[in-house]
Amino acid sequence: MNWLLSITVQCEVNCALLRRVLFLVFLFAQANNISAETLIYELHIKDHLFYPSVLTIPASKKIKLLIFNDDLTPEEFESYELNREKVIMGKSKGVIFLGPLKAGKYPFFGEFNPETAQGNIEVK
Amino acid sequence: MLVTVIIFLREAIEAALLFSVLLALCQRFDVERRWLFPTISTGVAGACIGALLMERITNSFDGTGQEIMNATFLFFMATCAIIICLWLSNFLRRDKPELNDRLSTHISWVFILILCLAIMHEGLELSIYCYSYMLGHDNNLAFFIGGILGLGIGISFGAIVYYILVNLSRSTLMKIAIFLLVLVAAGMSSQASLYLIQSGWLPFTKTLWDSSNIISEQSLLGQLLYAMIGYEATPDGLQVVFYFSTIAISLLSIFLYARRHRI
Repeated sequence: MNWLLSITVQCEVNCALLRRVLFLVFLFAQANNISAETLIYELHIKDHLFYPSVLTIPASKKIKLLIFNDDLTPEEFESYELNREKVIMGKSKGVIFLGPLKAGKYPFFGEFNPETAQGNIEVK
Repeated sequence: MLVTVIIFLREAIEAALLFSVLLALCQRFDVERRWLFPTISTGVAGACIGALLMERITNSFDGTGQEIMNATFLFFMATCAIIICLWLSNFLRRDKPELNDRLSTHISWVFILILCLAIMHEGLELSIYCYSYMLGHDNNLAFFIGGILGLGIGISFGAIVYYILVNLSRSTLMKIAIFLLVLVAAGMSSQASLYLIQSGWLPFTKTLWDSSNIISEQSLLGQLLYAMIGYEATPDGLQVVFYFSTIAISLLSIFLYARRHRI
């Protein structure tokens, strides 16, 4: 991604708009750049329950959360505290990016089966 | 059953608000409404097709296809809402403008597009929920009652808003509609930015505030505010930026458009 930055910095064209656009592209690329700093965690849904129901993750780190739905029925991963919602079809998986988060407890639930499908993400 | 009611109500209320405002505008500003039922059916059909293809959609773009699709829908809807505001601003200066410019003759297409997308966006989750329920439960009666109750409450809410709006004077209706549509557009674009953050396309900045103790997003009031002004109890910094830039862009374009079309 460094070439993008160098274009942005060395841009001889004195056009503020172009530079801003390039900077945005750089930001996009940076956000998309899943480097070694992104930690990968897994969550499984089985019989409308989350496994593990308490997931501990480190604070101030970007997390890639893989959610595997082992049930036949679709489920929606939802969390108001994390501002996340995603439908995960049966026998399928979904990816969600989280953080960097502050330490604390972030509850989540399965919207289609909220009585049973509940869990917490603990950020430490 | 309560879960079903809540899920249906939540999705219905968002679409119902948009429908009631736009249909009231059609009624009071003489826009044809023959397209209404074809649009609803297309939206429902689109939602069902989308639900069938959901797994493929989710797996595209490295597993972030769902977020990209939702964000695209929301950005399109926000654009449509702003275009409708521009068209409405025609009435800001004159009571009976000569509406023969291209925007006015084709405005019903914008109405069709935004409503069709709204139904697809809300209906997609509902149809997957229906499918999920049917697959996992035997007691379908409770589900049907719950669904009808949820939809019914949502539609009644829309009907009340509609009848309040159509009985207002044209200038009041226009001002309220512009106000609501700008906020709805801002809410949609902030929601779209959230999907892009979730997919990792945009960086997460930081949570700006937490007002969940005052108005919880899960409460009825929270849901209503979410549908109306895009209320978020724990918004991300970037979301707030998107929210206010959308408001700024809409107001600026309304101003520029009105200036260009001054007599």
